[in-house]
Amino acid sequence: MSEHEAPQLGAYVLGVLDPQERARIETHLSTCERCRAEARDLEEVRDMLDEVPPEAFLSGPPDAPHVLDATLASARRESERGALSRRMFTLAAAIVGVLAIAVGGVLFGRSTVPAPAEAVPQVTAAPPAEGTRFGTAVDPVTGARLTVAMTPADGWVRLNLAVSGIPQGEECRIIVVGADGLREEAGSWLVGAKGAKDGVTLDGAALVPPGEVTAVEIVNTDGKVFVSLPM
Amino acid sequence: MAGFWPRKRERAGGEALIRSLYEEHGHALLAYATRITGDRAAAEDVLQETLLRAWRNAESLASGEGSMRSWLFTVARNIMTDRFRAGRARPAEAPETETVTPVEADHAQNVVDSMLAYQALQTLSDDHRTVLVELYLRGRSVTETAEALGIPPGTVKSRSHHALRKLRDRFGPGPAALEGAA
Repeated sequence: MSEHEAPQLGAYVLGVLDPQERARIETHLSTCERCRAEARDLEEVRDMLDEVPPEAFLSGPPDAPHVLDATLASARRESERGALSRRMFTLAAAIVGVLAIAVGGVLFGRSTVPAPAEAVPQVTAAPPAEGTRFGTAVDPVTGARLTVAMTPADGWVRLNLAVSGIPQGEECRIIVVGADGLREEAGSWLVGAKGAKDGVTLDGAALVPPGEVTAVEIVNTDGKVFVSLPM
Repeated sequence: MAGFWPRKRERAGGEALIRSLYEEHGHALLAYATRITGDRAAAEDVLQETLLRAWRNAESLASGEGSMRSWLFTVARNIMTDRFRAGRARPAEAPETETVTPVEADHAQNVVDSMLAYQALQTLSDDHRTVLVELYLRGRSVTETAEALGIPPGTVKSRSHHALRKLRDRFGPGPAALEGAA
């Protein structure tokens, strides 16, 4: 790639080159398909960075000691009211969590359960497991958006998906595409009013070896593909 | 009859957790909530509720600063989304809820995406991540970044390229997807 402009393309798509450098890259891109493809790749990544709140990179305490005091006071009151009941609640929550994992992952390995809103932080709280792959795709025609975190298991995969942009009333399936065109369903659901408006998060699993997954697709029961994400 | 001592010990641990989360993440969370709500008092409320939820879930919190922050941001965002929806559902309380309305309508669907991108950034080496954060997320120029990090401008550029490539390899769809989407 050294004869190409590859090392400059990162700065180019981030928009930080000076005008002369920028013009040189654009001249090169106009004649080099390889570098154009590379730039498109990097632009996709840049667009994902756009989603990250810039405040996530600030550090230190805020100038709001009264908030700290109020929080501590609240916590104290709560802990005095229910030290015991809170422990029971936590225990119950932990049991529910374990059951959810067992049920979702083992018993109904191919089913999909719409995750409740509160489950979202739990999904993102765990650090990405070893080998977890991420991807996002927006279908330019249907407008459907799919984000997938795929975690390899022993001979199969777990999926965590966010799906939006599909009309209410559609009966949808999650399809994991494997080697030789194998199409394994990882769950199905009905798009409700809320799901159509805000999107939905789903968990699924599919009996496709992690190394053989080539795509994750959202299709309806008539076989229409709303969005396909190559993995 | 939980007894005195265990409860006291639990309380001290909980307070230490709240204090350390406030010290480490408070500024980021408050700035974020202030931007989204457009209202400092509402944002302080969101910060307090976020810290309380972390405290209530202390047993199940993930370790690691990056995933901790990701969790806190997601919780803060959920709190704001919930309040926004609650406010919209009861328009009679206009003056109070108006302040919370700047939450974008498409927030909920971005929650998973934005925090996945944040977590993917955490998997980069410090060198790679810092360059991307300075250049793109903090909006610094190549020269400013080079000076801040004490490296030549050329290195800033090549590092930003390699950092994007690494993210791309871990994160993005394959080239076929881009062809298809184009």
